[in-house]
Amino acid sequence: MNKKQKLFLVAVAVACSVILAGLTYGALTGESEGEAGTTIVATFYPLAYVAESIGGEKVSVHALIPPNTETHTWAPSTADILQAQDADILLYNGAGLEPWFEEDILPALDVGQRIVVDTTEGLTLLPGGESESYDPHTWLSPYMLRMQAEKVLSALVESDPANATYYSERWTSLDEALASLDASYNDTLSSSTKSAVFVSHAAYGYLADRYGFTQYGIIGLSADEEPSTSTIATLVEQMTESDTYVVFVDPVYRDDYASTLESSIEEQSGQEVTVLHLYLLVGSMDDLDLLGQMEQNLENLAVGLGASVA
Amino acid sequence: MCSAVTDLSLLDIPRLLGFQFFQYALLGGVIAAFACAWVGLFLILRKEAMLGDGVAHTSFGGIALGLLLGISPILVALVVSILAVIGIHIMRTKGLARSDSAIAVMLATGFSAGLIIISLAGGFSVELFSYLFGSILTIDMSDLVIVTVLGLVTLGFLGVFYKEMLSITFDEGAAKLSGIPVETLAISFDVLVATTIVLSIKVVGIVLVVALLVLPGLSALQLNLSFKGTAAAAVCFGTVSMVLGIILSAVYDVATSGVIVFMAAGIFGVVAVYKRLG
Amino acid sequence: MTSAIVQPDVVSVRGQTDAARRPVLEARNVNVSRSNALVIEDASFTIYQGDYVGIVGPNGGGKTTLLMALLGVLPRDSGEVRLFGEPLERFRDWHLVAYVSQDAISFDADFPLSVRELVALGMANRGNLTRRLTGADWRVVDDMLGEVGMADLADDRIGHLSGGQKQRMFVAKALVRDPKILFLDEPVAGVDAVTQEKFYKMLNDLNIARGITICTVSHDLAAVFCRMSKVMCVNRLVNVSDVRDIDEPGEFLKKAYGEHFHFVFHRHECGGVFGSDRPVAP
Repeated sequence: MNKKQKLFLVAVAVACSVILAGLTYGALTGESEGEAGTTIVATFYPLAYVAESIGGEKVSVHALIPPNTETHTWAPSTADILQAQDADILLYNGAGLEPWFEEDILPALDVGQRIVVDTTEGLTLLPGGESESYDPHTWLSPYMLRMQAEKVLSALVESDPANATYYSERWTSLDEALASLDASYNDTLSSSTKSAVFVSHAAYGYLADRYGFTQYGIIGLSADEEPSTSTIATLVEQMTESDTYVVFVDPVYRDDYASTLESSIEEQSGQEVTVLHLYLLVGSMDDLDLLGQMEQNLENLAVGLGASVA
Repeated sequence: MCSAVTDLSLLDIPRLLGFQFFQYALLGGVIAAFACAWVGLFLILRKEAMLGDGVAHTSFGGIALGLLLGISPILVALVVSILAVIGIHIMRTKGLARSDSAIAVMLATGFSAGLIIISLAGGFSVELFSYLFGSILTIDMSDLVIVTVLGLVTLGFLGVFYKEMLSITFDEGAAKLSGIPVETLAISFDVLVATTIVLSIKVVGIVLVVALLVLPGLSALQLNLSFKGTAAAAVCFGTVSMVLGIILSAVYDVATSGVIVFMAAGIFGVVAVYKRLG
Repeated sequence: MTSAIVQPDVVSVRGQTDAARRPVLEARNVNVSRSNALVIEDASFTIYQGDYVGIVGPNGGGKTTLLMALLGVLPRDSGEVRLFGEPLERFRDWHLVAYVSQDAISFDADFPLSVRELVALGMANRGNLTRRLTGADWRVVDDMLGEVGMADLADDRIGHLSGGQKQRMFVAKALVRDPKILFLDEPVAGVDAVTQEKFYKMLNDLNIARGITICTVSHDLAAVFCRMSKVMCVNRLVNVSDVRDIDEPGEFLKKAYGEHFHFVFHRHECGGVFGSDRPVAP
């Protein structure tokens, strides 16, 4: 090895060390300051929201799936597994929503002291579509979410009995809010004149079941593609049959997409069509948090179902 | 994959090592690296480096078929790959096509068949993605068993027939004169290539497996060592790329196969410059 | 130099009469054709254990073809060939036969092998297919390297050697299994005169020390008549003669090279590069 070669190797070694050191430093300083109290890791936004509502200052909550990310195709990374390892309480929806949680994350952890909560365990679930045993979209119904949230409360109390009173007080507000929403949904939608709801993503089964309407998931609609002619044709057929000319789409769809959809349907049906939003409650959107989105959903559903707002 | 709010750092490595899935990943990865380095070195010296790429792309057809039929895609890919190398061998020996042409034909057939099957089966899925680009971090016990068995078969063969393979690779004519069964060993080696590639699909995926086969050997050849030295260097480079790749990709949540191959390419670059300076 | 410095008064194998030695290579009325043209016609000769045979003749005269036919690589039209008394077709003891081809030295210079490793490859054969090389095997390899004068270069890469060194290496490779007969086809083509001399002397030493029969194609006529015990003239017809029996090499060679061939040979000039050299006959 001659001098130049030695120097070169040293330079390479130094460069690598510097880069790695820099990354390590960056990661360390980027970490959140002192994790307060009980650590809760929830799989996605609705459960994180509930945990924060109940736990307040005494918990630090983290959702594995980033807000407004597609839940069905998401896969956890190693960092997520380590995160889960650190949590005191793990919350997941269950009902088949997060197979990766049960298959990849849980087995990799040593459960030990951790409390793992299947928030839909023991609840009456609706049957799912072709590939699922159950319909997992429970959190969109204030009635169901309330029961899921109750489990979160129990877990918190079990994990941190010292602050049980604090949690109970905060629980009461959330409980009331959800119960009141349930009542509003019931009252408003009982005056529906229509009974069909056409929606891009068939996630509202629990609402349909409780408040008396039928949801029709528009098969073949995806946020990336233009709606095909056959999709539109089928849709128009069904809409004409149920005399409903309102279509609900997920706000994640681009605006111009919505207007294209609107004009295509109008063209084919000859009727004036309204395209409204229905939130999926998987992240705050349009400045609305979970409860806000539930309220907005009710308003939009009322329009679609021809109900008068109570 | 989306990263979490809190980033990991190198200091988390000891914790990672405590997880079974991570241990499996390292073990499977190292076995694959060993097998690929050895097989790849022979492939380069036999001037058959593109055979690796050809077989990998052909195996895609096998993966697709397995997914469609609901049978283990890896086992179907293994069968398809072995048939492919035998097909290439026959094309060569019967004079139907020269080596690279034969490989191109096989590659085209297998991969396009795979695409057709995939679209019939309903399009791309997360699972398919993992076969194309590897998913070593989600390796489970059954995968690990397959990787280990195939790896041991490969290394065993090369260990047992070491001097024969070296003889054939250096001078096939002279080897034949010595009574070494060249034809049998050549076909066996080709089957071994297919085996090694299939076992590596889980680790780095179809698209990058040729890199894992060829880069460590190419780097080692630059060092002008004896054969033993070259082989040792190739294994070393391959293993280092693999281990560092797995660790860094886990810590920083970046595509594992990408990091592994990038490291291997980086090592190649460093060795090349090092040699030029000497 | 080599470890095979033999005392002048030791009678080597080749010093014995033909009758006292066993025949290792016999040809009877051998005819060989290539592309429908007769290349070797009615060749008959016997080579005995310990002979050092120089195969000479003009280019295109059939030397390589004859070699290939004797080894069974090329088919012959007719005639009998025996190796160690056994008909070629039934011969099985191929470990007794070694061959260094003409193009052995034109290998890929970048191939990662050390000299030692290449010579060790000579051990690989049908008989020991799965057996690892033992320490004893490697000692044989090292000894062989010593005998051909390549001990210092054992760990060098094969691509870094000169032409002459490469040929020595291939000879070592051919000899690790202790064959009884070694064939070489134009081993030192394209190498300088001094190196050629040294090479043929090395073969000579091996022949004397090990009693191995050597048949080498050569264009170095002086080396043939100085160092070797028999000469085989090949130009479609084959003539073999003991070198000592030829008083006029020039005349003898005209049979192969044609009437206008001119070769003046003075035995006393056989000292060559090496001062005190052994005469051909012991």
